Amino acid sequence: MTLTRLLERLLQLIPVLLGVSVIVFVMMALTPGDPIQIMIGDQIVTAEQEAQMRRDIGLDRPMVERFFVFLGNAIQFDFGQSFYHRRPVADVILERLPATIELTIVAMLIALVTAIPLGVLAAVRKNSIFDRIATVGGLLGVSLPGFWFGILLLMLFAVHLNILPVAGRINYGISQGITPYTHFLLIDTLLNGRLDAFRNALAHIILPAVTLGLPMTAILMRVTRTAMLEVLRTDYVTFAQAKGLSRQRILWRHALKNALIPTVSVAAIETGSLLGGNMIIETVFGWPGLGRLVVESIFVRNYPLVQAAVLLYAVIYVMLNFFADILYTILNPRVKL
Amino acid sequence: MSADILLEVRGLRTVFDTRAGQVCAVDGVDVTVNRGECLGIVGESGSGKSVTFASVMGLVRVPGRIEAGEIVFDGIDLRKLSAKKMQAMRGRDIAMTMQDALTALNPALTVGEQLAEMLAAHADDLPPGRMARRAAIRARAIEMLTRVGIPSAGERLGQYPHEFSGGMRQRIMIALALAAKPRLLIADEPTTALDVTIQAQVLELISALRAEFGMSVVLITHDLGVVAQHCDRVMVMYAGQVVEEGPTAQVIRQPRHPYTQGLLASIPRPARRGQPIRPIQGQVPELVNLPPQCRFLERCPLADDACRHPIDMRPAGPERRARCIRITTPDIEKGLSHDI
Repeated sequence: MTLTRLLERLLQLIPVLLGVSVIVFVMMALTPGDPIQIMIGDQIVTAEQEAQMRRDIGLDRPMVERFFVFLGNAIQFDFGQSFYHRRPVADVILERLPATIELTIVAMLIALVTAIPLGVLAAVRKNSIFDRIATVGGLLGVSLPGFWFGILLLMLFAVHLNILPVAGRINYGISQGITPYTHFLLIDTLLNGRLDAFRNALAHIILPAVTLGLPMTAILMRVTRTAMLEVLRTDYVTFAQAKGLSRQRILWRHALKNALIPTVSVAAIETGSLLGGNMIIETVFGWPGLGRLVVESIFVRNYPLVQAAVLLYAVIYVMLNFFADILYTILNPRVKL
Repeated sequence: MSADILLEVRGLRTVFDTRAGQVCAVDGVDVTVNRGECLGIVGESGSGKSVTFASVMGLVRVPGRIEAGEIVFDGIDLRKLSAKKMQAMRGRDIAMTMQDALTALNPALTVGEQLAEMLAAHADDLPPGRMARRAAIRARAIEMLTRVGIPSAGERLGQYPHEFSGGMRQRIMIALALAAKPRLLIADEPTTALDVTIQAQVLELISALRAEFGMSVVLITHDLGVVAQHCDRVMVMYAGQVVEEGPTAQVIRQPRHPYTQGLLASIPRPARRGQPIRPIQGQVPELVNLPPQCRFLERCPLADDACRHPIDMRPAGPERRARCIRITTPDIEKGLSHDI
């Protein structure tokens, strides 16, 4: 049953990816600006050289033809050459992907670890001062623009207090000699037994992760609070009280186990939206990840890279939704896949 | 206090502060439950019967609160107990079952987990050591489920409540409530959510377990038939007050309060075939800002100006009391003649 459902999901990916490729392709092609002109920049080239450049990367062909060539290659996982890097797009993306995944996971963990206890407390102390502060904080969390909030954090912690680094993933000097087993710096530094490097990497990731995770924290807190309030009104919570169970047990086991069902599903889906947030946050904090790569690539009209990256985002997003479904089933014994 | 009395509630007043004003859900209720007896509590929705016993359990939800009264269980004033001590009494000394087992059992925990945590919280005679303790809890959980009539209990411990039928769930809830062998079981509408055939089985089970454990049972219901079959004594509640109490057989044969008479007259019976069922006219009054008068006044066929002041409970025969000034008048006697 689960297997057919998995297959179903994978098949659903096909039309989604097809649609996404068409949209990305058309949008990139219609965006004003010519990649050849951007590549040439201030250099002086002859018309013949320019035409040659255009032929080299296939931009002399009509758009429809270019699209089908792109599609045919993409099916074979060949996403072409990055105009800018002169290397296969897949290589460039894979190089930058771990930094983004690492940042996303840390942001998600920060969000989960803070949002769930805060949401539970807000529900238990409904209408208290704490609940009100949490509600206002949640509203701010969703509405503060990441680029602004990130810069504020930078000014406070990196500039004024000078306790955290301004940008990057790790100090260059410290990163030397670390074997990249997983390409996740927080893990690699530990695997190499380099505590100093781990601390340095951790210091680098805190501000971007907090900034990235803030809206998710706010949303998850609201979801947890609402779900908890609903669960706390149920008969089974009353019955658990009538059984003489401790308040802690009722809250964290009887109530939270049910309240987590919507929270975790939302968390999985929201993780997808973190990908979008990445582009801004990585730019603000100079994080060498995929998000910043995509932003830079858009500026230089690096079509193949943007197309491949957006397709990757779409795949991740659909898979996260699928993952949310599976989690929902695991947590909720009444639902079978 | 007599040695036979297990629970004594005196002058209980439980109110809910709402925007429309203070709703007095329970207003000066006295309850006595003797050891080993089954007391039936009858009344319509909103009569205060469930809130009375939620107050006894210390489980009144905000915005509700107990405003006055004494709740003495086996010599201990429950209202003076700390939250911690009250929690320890719940389940161990006073247990409760709820109307619908489907909503009362946690959907995300297996039946075994829900039984085990109950036993772990209350059983003090478990053997030391993690494994021995777990084995003992498991054995006792199986024993309890088997006792309430769940076949192959051992295999079903790992199942979730939704995997059981309605009757089975009700049995599981009873097993949970009785796992710590309480001295008082409050069964709140134990049969309302069940089919008629299952109803009888569940009530039989409760009666059998009452005899076996020597516990007292408070049976909250709106079904006088259930009370007639299973309860030693009955208390009729109306609009937050007790209006009549006494031995079940007598109350049913000779109801003293016009409301009890009305309840009995509205039950369809084979003996009255062909005659129309006579429901009580009118509605239960809103419990906000009640005038100081008989609460049944608006619906009572016997009411007159003498009823326009607060009515107290008064003796209405041996071991019987009723809240009506017409207990001894011929009208009442006439009123009940149609009933037999």
